[in-house]
Amino acid sequence: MTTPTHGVGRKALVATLALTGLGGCDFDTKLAPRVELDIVVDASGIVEHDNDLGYHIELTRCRVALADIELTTDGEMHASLGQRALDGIHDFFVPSAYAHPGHAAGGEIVGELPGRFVFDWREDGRVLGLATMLVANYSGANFGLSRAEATDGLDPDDPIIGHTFDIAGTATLDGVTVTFEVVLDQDEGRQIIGVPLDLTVDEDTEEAIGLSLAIVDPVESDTVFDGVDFHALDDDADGHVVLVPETEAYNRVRRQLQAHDHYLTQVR
Amino acid sequence: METNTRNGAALAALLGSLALLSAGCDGEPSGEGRLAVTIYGESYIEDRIPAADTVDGWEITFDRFLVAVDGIAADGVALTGPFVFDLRPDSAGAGHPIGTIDVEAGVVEILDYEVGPAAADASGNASAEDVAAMASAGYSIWVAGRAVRQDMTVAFEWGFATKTSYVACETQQDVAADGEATSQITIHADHLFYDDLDSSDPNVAIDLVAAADADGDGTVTEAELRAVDITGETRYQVGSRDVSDLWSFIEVQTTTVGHIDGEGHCDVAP
Repeated sequence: MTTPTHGVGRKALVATLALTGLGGCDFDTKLAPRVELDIVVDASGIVEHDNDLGYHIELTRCRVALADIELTTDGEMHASLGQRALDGIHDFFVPSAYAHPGHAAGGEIVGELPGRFVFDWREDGRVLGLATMLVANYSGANFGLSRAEATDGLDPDDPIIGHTFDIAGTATLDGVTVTFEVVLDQDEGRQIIGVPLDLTVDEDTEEAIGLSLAIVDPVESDTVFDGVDFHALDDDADGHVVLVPETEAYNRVRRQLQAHDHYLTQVR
Repeated sequence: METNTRNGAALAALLGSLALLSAGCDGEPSGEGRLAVTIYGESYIEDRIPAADTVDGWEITFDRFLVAVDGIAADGVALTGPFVFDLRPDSAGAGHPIGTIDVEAGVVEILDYEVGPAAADASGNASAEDVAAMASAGYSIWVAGRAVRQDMTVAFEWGFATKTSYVACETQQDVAADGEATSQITIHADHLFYDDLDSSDPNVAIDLVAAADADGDGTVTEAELRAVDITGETRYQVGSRDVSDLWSFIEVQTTTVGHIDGEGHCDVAP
């Protein structure tokens, strides 16, 4: 389910001020150029594939809970956007790459779609919401991996509640197919930083931005399920495998899903 | 009377303005002072990382903790380096003096510094032999010590060649005219044993490091740490970094040890 923003935090408030030109020290009331573009689910990354052990894998479910999508620039802005407006956003929006684990790096955040979102990566075209974006050359996207909540509009017994991913599928090797499922958690606050985005936004831009999970890394060809030996995990030979926490297979999948290599954007 | 009052108010305003001008636009005092810069490894290096501070009950002591520092500047005014300091000797909580920088009186807001491969001509409190060894090996950080839990002891001696520029460290030291304040470069040794590269609340953990002692000789080496595949570990998560072995994981952690004035943060320049 896609759910609306529950509240407007400090970031969003400052963004609103900055985007309306009120964040500058000189109280410039001129509106900074901006547009609103759809952020949609892009299913192109959910493909049948083979992992490194030769299993042919097909996903039948691939749900996620994520939050607060940010769109970033590497600094190249259109001249029509005053530097003051950028500075106003930058000061409050850009998390410093503090010399401490847990702090983010990346470009300057000049667009955002705040809120919480629970959806299936296979639901191509599903609209997550309208992102507010300054006129700029965009080079990246960030988002947080979250834990689904009942207040996200889910049924009380939905298995993803309290978790980040809910994935199921089939894995076939040597003609033997097993079904599998994994309900997977990422640490609260875990961020995916630096998903590539190549989009020049001006006041006439109307494209949508698709957000996809690339089960197969398009650059290095590694897969989310590399290292998972599904047959070996089927202890009771019932043809069904559940990846459980604190196991190597679960940890491998979790690690892959927190790497930005496996996330893409598509302008569409 | 009214006129006199008005004139008096105007004069007062004028005098006030002149005073502000002489003091600087932001009201800071004019003149110069001195910013002393020190480097400190806290009790974690000078004494120990107590077992209570690790998640798995190991106590860590260091025999040496050498750091090569250069590029020190306060609000853009440089302190000529390079330096190598051994942070292990007891400094009675004061840290080791590096030098002083003449600065304009007022608040020094920013300190920059770099931890990078040692230069052979570095000054500091490290022995000439240690400086030469670090420069020859290209080390920026060279640590040796041991982890102890009950009757188990695991020794380590690791050299790292990472180069990290800590910038915009938020020191906020108020330097009076003709006065002196101190900014402290603080090195957090516990980061070397953190078990997550991104979490804001990692554990200080030794078990996996200790288990890396494949030959059982009581010393964990770089080669043994490189042989530990962390991709199946529940902890030791790396985010988007291309890090899959324990040595590389600790190597990344060496780029996070630098802080300012205790717990103050710095940016890390790309």
